[in-house]
Amino acid sequence: MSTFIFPGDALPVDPTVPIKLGPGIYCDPNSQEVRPVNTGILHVSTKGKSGAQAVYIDYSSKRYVPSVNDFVIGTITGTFSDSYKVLLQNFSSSVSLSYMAFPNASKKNRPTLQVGDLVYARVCTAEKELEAEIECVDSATGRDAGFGLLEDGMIIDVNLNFTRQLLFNKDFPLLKVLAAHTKFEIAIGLNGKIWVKCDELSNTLGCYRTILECCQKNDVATFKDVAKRQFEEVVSVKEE
Amino acid sequence: MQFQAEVGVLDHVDGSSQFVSQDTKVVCSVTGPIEPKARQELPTQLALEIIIRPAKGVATTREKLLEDKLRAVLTPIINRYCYPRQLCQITCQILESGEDESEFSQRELSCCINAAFLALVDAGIAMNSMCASIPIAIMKDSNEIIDNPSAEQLKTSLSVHTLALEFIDGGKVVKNVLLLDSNGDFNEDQLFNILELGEQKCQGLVKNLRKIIQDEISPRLAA
Amino acid sequence: MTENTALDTIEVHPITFPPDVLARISPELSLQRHLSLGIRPCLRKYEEFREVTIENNTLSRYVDTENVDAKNNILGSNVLKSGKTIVITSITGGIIEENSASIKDLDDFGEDELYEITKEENVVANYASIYPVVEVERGRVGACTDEEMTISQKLYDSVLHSRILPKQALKVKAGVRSVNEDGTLSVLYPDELENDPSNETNLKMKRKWSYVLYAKIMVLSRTGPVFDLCWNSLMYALQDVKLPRAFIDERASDLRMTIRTRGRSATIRETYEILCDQTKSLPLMINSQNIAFASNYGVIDLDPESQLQDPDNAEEEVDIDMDEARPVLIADLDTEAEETSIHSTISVIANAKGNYTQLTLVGAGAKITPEMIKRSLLLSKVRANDLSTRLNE
Repeated sequence: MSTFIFPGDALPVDPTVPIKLGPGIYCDPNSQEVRPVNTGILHVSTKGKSGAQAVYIDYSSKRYVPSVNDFVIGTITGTFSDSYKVLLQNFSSSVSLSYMAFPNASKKNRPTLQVGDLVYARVCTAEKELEAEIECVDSATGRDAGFGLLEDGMIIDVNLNFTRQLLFNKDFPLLKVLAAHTKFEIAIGLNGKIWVKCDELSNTLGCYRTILECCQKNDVATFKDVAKRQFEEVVSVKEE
Repeated sequence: MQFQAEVGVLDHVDGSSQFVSQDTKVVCSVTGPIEPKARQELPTQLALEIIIRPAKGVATTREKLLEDKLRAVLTPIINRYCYPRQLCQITCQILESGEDESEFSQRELSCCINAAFLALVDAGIAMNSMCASIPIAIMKDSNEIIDNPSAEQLKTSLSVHTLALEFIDGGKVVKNVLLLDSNGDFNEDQLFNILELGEQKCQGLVKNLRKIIQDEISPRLAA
Repeated sequence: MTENTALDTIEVHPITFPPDVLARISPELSLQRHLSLGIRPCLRKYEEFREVTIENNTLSRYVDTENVDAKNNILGSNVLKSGKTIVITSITGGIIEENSASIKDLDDFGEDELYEITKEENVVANYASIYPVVEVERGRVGACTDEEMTISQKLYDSVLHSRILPKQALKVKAGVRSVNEDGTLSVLYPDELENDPSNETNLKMKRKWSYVLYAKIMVLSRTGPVFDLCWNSLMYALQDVKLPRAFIDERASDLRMTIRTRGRSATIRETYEILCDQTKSLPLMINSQNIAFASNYGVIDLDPESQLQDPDNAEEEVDIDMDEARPVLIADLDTEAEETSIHSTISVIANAKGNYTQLTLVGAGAKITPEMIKRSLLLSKVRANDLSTRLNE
């Protein structure tokens, strides 16, 4: 079930069933009234085990607000005695990355990241009143979980909803389309950043241009043609 | 109210819009939530930095007063408690004023309010409700109430008003009067007539705004 | 198991504060507690205004009606006291040369006819405003605050749209100073010689001047919103403004001067030196029927949860808790508690007859109902009626 909803509209949900608040839904602490606060497509799901109805709004935005368990790509902007200062988006409040949040970290074994490096990490705490924290380790097992320094490659800034699609929607065809053209490494940050790296710079550029145009058009049907055209263009320029 | 509006006109900000009504044209950008300067930071809520730039020349006290009124309208509709210790920058650039700037500012103000609302929606900032604003004039002699008066009509008016209303429940229910700024010579009856006509016109406007927003945003979310 | 439940229970002790401490740490709650008793933190009733006392023209050059103090350049003044706040308004002026293209030439009409014409053309373009500078003293110096700027601009806009100052009233009816046959200087004014038409035509001048009025408004010990105090003080001061007469020197009237503009080209321009008469003055002809007075109101919901409850009357307690938040109208906002906790405000400029020239309604808090608006308009009318009599006392 999905409807387009605006801030302040009445929520079309069953009032007798408990509600689980997702993104875009706010419960006023004074009146205990539950209202949507964002503009987008309302999703109501009753599939959860608890029997409660989970309500959230899929909305479009470009500014990332940290939320626990999100995968993000950040830039190291400063070092402190026990943590890095990491910027997830220009002008946003920075988040902290503790030296202990790396695999095999100990007091003596410090990570060797430098200012300006890119890291792929997971948000581990996100209280809106406090500075958010990220980690480069699977905190449940304490082992490496594919996070850490992103070397070389290229960063693409896109909409937040596009990265959500890319990461969570199994049927989203973009990665398959790209794979038809080249071999690549990719990291998708829910803070609206995508990192790609190929063996050859021209292929990286092809990926970059394809992803950017696909994000702008956001029309799944055209992805194949876009990728084909962009890669051809890059190749033709290279040959010249 | 006749108008053209566009959402998402600028690439390098989080939200933007352009609102054109008759000869008045405003472009608005929203950036936020971002890190505030230490003096702007509020411990429990989102700080708002509101800037209005005039069509010509540099900003004066006239724009300061407009900023003050715009702030009064936007503060209650933004859900500021969602973003404590953060800042939201809202900048309105008036491209064409569409009225005699030395005497009136009603047209510019209501266009700024509508443009800022659209830009906030585009930026995905959490909001409590929707808003819509119109300028109104009461004409000399005829005492006719005109919504969205032209620059010429303003000049020959007896009183001029800017009305902004807050809507909930699908744009059908007026939650509150966000702003009614009246200047000139008017009486109580006229004031209530203005509120009545204004409610009707704002409701129509909010309906159109919803359509514009939906047309722009739903393709972005389609997958 | 039993141990666990014991740990889960937490005893909550109510914390009590003296009233003045509570007012500092939670002005909102303190205000609600006061309102639940039917009074406000300043001990006024909901719709009670502060007493206002005024002194007019105590600072101006016309204090002594016989001898004009030539060194004093204040043309009209007012000192207004309301509660702890004092507002000092002093009106000064200047003379500018008019750009003749933009002004309708209405010089050939007499005073009464002029009034008729301005009444007919009752559009904003025929009215001027005053240039106010509001200064709220806070014990420190620095750039002007946003509040000072917005109040100044709002005063300017309101004077303009209230149609109080016709442009015509600010025109300089300049005289000519000439040397008489016996060597003494005398000034002739065209309007003083009406029975002698030959003289009048001689004194016709090509150039036109008009007065500009400035108001310096100082606010001392600000305790709450001050726009309405500034406006009322300005209104009182404006009603007593006298404009000094001005004349040009006969000899200067055919003076020629070379003016260089940025060293590029030289132009020759005729200049008149306009001088102010040290003794003679004319009262400023304002549209006195448009004089109106300002008042402000706040709307706040009484929060049933913060009501002070009577311990002897436990049954009533329940009733109060069941109540919905009830909005009340508070007149003449004062004190920090009211200013920071009341977000819905109504500011009205009204005259005693029930005509309104300015209304600002901001609904950022409690819902402003039509009844609230009606009530505030009525109170404004009564208040304006009261304030308008003060000047003649």
